Amino acid sequence: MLITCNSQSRLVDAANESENFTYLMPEAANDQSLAMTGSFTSMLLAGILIAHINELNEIEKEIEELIKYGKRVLKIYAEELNTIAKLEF
Amino acid sequence: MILFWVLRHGPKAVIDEKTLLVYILSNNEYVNKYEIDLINDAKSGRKSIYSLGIMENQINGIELDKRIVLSESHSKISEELLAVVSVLPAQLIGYYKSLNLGLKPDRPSDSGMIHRVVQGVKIYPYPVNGKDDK
Repeated sequence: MLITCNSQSRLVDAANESENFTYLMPEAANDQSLAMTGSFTSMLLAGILIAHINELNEIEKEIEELIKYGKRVLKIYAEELNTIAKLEF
Repeated sequence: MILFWVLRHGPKAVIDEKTLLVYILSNNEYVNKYEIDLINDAKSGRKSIYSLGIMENQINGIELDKRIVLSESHSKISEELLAVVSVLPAQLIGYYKSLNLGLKPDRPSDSGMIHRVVQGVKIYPYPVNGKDDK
């Protein structure tokens, strides 16, 4: 089972050649940066969702809540996190 | 950032005025009991530059410079899902720190010393049924 953020990945080719499953993340998860940000959380979420693949209806409400939490961090706390980042640690 | 359980084993000794403490708290009340004790315990040593706590709902009994409270309606999601969003503040701090230092988080290595997609790794056939191909 493969989880990848890049549709051009060699992993996708490898999976097509065999009986593997490939989970391709949305295009936005294909980070520009070297450090993984959106790609990390996307793949982590995908892994959790795959583990619950037979109960997706049951956890849908929780996922919607999770999305709200994420938006809250970005909207309400991002500026304060920038201030924290300016500290000399 | 230091894992809760290992803090007392040693990392506590390196907390000083140049340390940013980020506590990512559980939403399991039983686990919170240990976390609260540990956060209070960390206060007994040298003071950190700043302490940040990330929690789903308000947790009492701890002193922090800043709290990030994820839920605004006392909602509760499973702890494994909570992990997905709990990492976000750390990612943002890293991103902003990088920009503040004049670095380019989207292109960290002009020299090409490090790559986004790791280079030079050979893929070997995986042994079927745990047995080596011979």
